[in-house]
Amino acid sequence: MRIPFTLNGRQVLVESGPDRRLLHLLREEFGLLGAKEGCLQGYCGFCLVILNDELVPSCMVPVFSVFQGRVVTIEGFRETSDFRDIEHAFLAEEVAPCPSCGPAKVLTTHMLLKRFPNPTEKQIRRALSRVSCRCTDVTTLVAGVKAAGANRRLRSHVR
Amino acid sequence: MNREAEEVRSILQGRGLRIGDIPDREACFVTVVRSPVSRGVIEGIGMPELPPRVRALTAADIPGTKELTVFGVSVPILAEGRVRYKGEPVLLLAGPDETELEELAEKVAITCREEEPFLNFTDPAEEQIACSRTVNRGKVDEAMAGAARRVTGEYATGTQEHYTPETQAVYARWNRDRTRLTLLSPSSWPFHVHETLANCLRLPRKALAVESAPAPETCLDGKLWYSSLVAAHAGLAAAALGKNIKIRYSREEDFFFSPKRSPAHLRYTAGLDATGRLQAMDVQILVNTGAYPVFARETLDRAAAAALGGYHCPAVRVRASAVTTNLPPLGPFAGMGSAMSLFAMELFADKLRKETDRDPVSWKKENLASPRRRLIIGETPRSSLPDPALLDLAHRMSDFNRKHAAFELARKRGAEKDEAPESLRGIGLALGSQVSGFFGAGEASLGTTVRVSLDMDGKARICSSAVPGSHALHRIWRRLAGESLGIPPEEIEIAGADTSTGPDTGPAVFSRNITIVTRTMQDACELIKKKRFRSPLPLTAAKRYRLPRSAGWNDQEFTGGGCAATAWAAAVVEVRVDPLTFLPEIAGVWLAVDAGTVLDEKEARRAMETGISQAFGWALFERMTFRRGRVPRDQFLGYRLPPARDLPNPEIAFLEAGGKRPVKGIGELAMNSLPAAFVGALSQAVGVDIRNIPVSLREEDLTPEAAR
Ligand code: FES
Ligand code: FES
Repeated sequence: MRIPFTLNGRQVLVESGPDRRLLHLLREEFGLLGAKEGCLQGYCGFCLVILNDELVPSCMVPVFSVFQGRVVTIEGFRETSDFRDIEHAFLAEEVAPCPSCGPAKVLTTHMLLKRFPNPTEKQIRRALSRVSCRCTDVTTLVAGVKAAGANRRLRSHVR
Repeated sequence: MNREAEEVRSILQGRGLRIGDIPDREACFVTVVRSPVSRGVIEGIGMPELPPRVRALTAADIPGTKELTVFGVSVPILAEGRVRYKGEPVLLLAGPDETELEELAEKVAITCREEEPFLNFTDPAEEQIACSRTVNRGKVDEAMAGAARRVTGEYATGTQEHYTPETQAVYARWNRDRTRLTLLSPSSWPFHVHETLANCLRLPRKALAVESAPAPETCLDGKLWYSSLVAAHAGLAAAALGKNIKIRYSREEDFFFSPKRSPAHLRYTAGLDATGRLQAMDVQILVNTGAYPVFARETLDRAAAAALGGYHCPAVRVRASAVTTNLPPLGPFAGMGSAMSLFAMELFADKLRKETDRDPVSWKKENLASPRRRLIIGETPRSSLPDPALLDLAHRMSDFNRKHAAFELARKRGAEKDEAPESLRGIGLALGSQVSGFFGAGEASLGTTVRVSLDMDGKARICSSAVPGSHALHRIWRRLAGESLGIPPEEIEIAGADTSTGPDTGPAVFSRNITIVTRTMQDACELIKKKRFRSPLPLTAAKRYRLPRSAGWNDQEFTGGGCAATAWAAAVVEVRVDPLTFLPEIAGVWLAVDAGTVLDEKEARRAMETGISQAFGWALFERMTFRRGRVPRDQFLGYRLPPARDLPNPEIAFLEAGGKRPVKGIGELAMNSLPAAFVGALSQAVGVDIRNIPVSLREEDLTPEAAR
């Protein structure tokens, strides 16, 4: 099956079996290694990407469903000012995720801030529950997301 | 931007590589074919026809030692003759195409003469006992007979999956002329991987190197020794095919077959005087180690040392046994040994204080050990004793006494009126401890060494094989080494863990990195500082860790310091429980911590909070049982770590450290205190003494009948 879609702002066309997982397509055909394989069950969130403006676990997305869709991965998102708000905030607050969850936590933060520019702690915790994590604290992450929101609000204000 | 920040930045940008991500189009893969039965003798292996690019490897193909050894306990690299658990590795298929290997593996038929497996550990047969630890203090039977009151209690703690972010993985890479094999391993003990490979492949030590993973990941004990087994499989395949090898377990494979936390069963009997003081204690501990009792001695020592928690009792008998079963290896996990005992002892303490109608704080204080009223391990440095101020601090932070009394009253009134309130409330308080480093003689046997050098330009380099669990360790080292050597932290380079360049620092476990290895690194810096007055640059100093004299350990008697340092915490948990669904909500968590000297407060808080999440996972969220020798599939699909939305925002206070106090490991403190505080709170809320974790929320388990 030939599947045209937009990947990180570029029009692409791939030949693939329709039920292949989007995660594997991104990693194997495009060398985009930011989304990580975890549970392959839609639970852990390590493989999150943005599909048509929604955060989705790419392990649960069969490639046929991206037909003419828009996919943004961390590799595309990192080129934006929205990313830099998050990056600066996370570094300033010493949010230090591991490679498995880091990109997913960034994309989750972005989508949360799009919906709630000034999120409450409860909203942040609920959003971050999409990414399972056994190994770091939530308090620092909440501070990082709040700071990212502040950066973004400041930038949109300045603009 | 410093090096750690650069690393984090690349992770945020999605450039952080895990071992499984390292690109190598030429690499081959390995699929493990596993035992279909829990216990039995292999009678034959039926093989499909293999294409020439695929190799099958069994124990017979291992050129050297066929087992890996951890502190005297052996585990087969591939089972030969006998299999001891469902899923035990028997055969490897190695080749260039992962899908093809999986299809071929489906066609391999391992036939076994099955034997009745040992699946139960609470009533073990003699042949199941791998080792035991017995501790005797005073005349227990006499003291028990003379006690004003005798009380018994029985407790159980469950198993838990490590659920490491990256599953078990390894990448074995040949150099150009295939004379040297380098393994990138997530192991928290690189020298153990090195040793295992050298013995198994019968290669000279110099023909091997083991490097740590490209980016740090919290060191969870699932990668303590099992990574050596996975590395041995990769090494065998690399040697057989002459190719680079990548192994990465799927989450499913990891979940079903890699080691998990040991479950335990504990029985307590206490003799009390009329005021509720402990006069005699008899404790039996059974620990399920699965098929191989790896780290069983350490677990038992820790369990026995923590059997009475922070309390003093003049007559004590502890019998702790490691029980083997035909289940996957069950062993170390944060709080190993200590957490199970502390959970049971703190719940038992609550039962004891109720028997004598005392409030929790005063009972604990009255029974607390002190320089004259010793802990179970005998004379202990004052800095390792529980400080009663911890209980005061925890009580003040949480308003414990008032809430406890108010919730008790509300519960009694509710029961009298027989009407359900909007929510049931409860609060629990528990004391816990963590010993840093290996227990007793274990630490001395490791020979932990750190090397520091200072070059002509005034730049320093620290070499070790310590695998950092976070970016913070190196940041702390840079600061401390900079202070010691009088140079800016940016001028200090920290070499990654690499067995070909760094000295052996032992495993990253029991908070050893921040206590023992950091201390050794500081000592090496001090040595350089001294040398600097006499000798020209460049200078190099290697320092080997020595246990403090006060820690002198008598293994026979089970007395002495036991470890490098002991940290203590008093934890309070408050819960609200829905009276219809029994779903608990964690309303508050407070922790008063004696961490000795705190090197980096932000990092210490972070470590505590990470521990809190793991502790609630163990006590409430994470459910894992075995059915017919393996974890059922529905548990894989339903296994959940505590989500951020259900975790509390804890209040953590560190006890002010007076004078020169040791740095104490605290990563396991929450695990060793919170579960009992949580279950205590839940028990108060529902009016039933809960005794097992993970807690069951089924109504039938939360009735007074179930508690009997
Ligand atoms: S790998 Fe996709 S949600 Fe876990
Ligand atoms: S899963 Fe990445 S920090 Fe926990």
